[in-house]
Amino acid sequence: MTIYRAFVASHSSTLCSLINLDFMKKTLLLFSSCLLACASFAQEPADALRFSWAVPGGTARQQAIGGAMGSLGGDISAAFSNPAGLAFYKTGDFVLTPIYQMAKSKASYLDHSEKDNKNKFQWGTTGFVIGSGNQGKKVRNTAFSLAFNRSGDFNKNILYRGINNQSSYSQKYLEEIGDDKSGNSVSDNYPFGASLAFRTYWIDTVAGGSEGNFNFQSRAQNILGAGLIQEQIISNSGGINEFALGVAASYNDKFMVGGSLGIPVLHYERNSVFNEADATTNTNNNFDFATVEENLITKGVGINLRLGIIYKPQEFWRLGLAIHSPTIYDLKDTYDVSVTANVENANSNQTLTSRSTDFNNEESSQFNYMLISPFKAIGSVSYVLREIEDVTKQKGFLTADIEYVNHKGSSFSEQTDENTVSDPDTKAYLKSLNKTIDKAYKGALNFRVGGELKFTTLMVRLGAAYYGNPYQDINGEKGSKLNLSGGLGYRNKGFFVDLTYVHSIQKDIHFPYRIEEAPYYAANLKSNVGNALLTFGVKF
Amino acid sequence: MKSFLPLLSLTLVFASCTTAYKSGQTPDDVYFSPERPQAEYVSVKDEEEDRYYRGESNGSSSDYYNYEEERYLRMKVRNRQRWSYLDNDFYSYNPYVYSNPGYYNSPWNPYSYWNHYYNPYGGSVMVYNVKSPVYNRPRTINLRTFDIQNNPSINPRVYNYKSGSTNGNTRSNTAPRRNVGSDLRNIFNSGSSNNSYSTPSPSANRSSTNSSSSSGGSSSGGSSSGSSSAPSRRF
Repeated sequence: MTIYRAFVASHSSTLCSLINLDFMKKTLLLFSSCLLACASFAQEPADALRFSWAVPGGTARQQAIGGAMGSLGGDISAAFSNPAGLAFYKTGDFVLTPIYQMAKSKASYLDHSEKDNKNKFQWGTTGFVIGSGNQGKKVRNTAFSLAFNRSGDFNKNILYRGINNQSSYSQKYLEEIGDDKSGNSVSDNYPFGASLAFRTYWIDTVAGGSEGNFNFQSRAQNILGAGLIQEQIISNSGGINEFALGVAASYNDKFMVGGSLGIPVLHYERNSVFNEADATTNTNNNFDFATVEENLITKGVGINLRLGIIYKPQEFWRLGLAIHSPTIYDLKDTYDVSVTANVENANSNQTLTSRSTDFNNEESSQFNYMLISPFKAIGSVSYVLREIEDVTKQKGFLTADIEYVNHKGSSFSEQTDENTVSDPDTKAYLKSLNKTIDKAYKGALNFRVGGELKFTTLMVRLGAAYYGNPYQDINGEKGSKLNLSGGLGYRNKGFFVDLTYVHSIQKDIHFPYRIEEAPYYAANLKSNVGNALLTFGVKF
Repeated sequence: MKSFLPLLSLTLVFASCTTAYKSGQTPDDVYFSPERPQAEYVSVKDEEEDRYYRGESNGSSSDYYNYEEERYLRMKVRNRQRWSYLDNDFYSYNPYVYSNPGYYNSPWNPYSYWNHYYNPYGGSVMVYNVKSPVYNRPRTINLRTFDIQNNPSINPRVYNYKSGSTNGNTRSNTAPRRNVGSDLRNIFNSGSSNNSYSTPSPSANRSSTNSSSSSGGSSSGGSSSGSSSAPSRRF
């Protein structure tokens, strides 16, 4: 990747010298003038939380017990939770896990509710573990694993509507232009926000001004008394697919230590449409409707390290501790925005559309950056009855994890190399963004608990997981995720099959916009996601 | 789903091939992981085959060469003419140490020769894929909104609407609806029994009285009806 970037960078510099320099200068001037502008489609704190608040997947067995694998071990999912758990292996496993997801979401905004749903087939934990025993030696066994896991899932549709008589989406554009009094500047210098709204007359000049001395108004804000119907439609897709290489060793069968190197591959896509319309049929109030459509694709690769230990103080008991390093992501955003509006007689009943690509030679805009997600610490305890070779005497286990995630620890930074000059304004914005993340989020505790009853070859499992609120309460922000799970397992003749259903109840909030000068509202989101997992495994 | 079937097939084949744990108990590593069962006959067979490759296996370092010579003699017995060139340089038979400088510098070898026929970046003709400059900045928001507590002083109007339902698989977000305003008003009207809205008419047919307070920004494009691309406004 580094070679590729160096190659691209070196050729880009050659290309730049050949491109019309005058045009380049104008382009740079245009963009530099709006560096501190507030675009409508934003690199915002929620971008960081999306990746740190993800609930990791696992095998059907691990998911059936609430995902609690911090001290239990003996399952390939341990590579993504506490790699020391791999040290229980003296045999080998090959597993694959298909998942079918059924998501239903309900959103309430200004006392109005909407429902949506999305179904999807996915791949879950797949890979192998090879363990080898060294009977009689102090290092009793070592294990190695190579596995794939769905470490985060972004598939979710959001739909909500309501009538607002307190604020308009367009007021964010008025705040964006601030003290800018130039109509020409507002038309050209805010390519992801105010310029689009201005060119479509959603925001307009106030009569009586002149170039360089204009005041601006929002056509929608003017009719707030009559009410604005607001509608938000978001389609999220993608996830974090992680590959991990794990190694572990057991010392005297009492003390296990392990580590895994993870390579998460992130892909996130969002299509967002916000509509705002006059709630009345009055055709003489100079506002009919406006639409903002935003498209974002975030792609990239990261790297992380997980280290863990498991200690068996006495028979039946296991204690685990694991640390997940921050994941360092190298990401690229590709994005574009368009605004469509009809302001009735204020612009001859025309419906006009303005796009951010109009400002960028019909290209979507891109931004390369680094994102560091927060570290995690997991403490765990398990009771296993019994740790004995004869499977007829293996009766079951109980296990519980507590996990701490410092959500405020996420941070963005510029991606620079020897061929890229650091941009001070971008740097300043990202620094402010990191401070805002620190204010907007907090450390959260997550709990996972589960158990299994074993009847020689047949197993029954139950589990639960609770992912705590990551938000600081600034404007009523709160959220949580509760997973309830159950499953069956069968293990005989050298293979095993596990079937699990996980029902996830997720509560979250979403702000269609945030403004300083007027009230704005959050939509309360509630999702019910059902995941059916099947893990098929072979012992070797 | 398509990728599932080949992998499942592979696993089933793998499962059918594995000999361990076909009979007896299948270990559960969560509870106890036993040492792998020693399949004696397999080990002996492996050793028999491996001794040709491992000089240390039987204390003789010449086993590998004996094996090679044996193969060579067998081949030559079968077809003397075909394999006779090996007499000149026995070790050149090994394809992994075969070395011919002429081959690697050949312009007809696309994998090794950095020639201008195959190298799009070399030679005297340079073809540039000229790309437009791309806006490379973060998406920005007004971060000050996180410093201010938003406390709506007046409660929003509350309407008793029925919940709508939309199937995400069939909805298209790629293009704005043609009449967003009237569509939204229809949605709210259809679910309400006590609101005061009348059935909206399409925007194009709505009566118009010019009451614009714009200062007169001029527009050089667009038509008087339908949707069109908004040009830059100049003053």
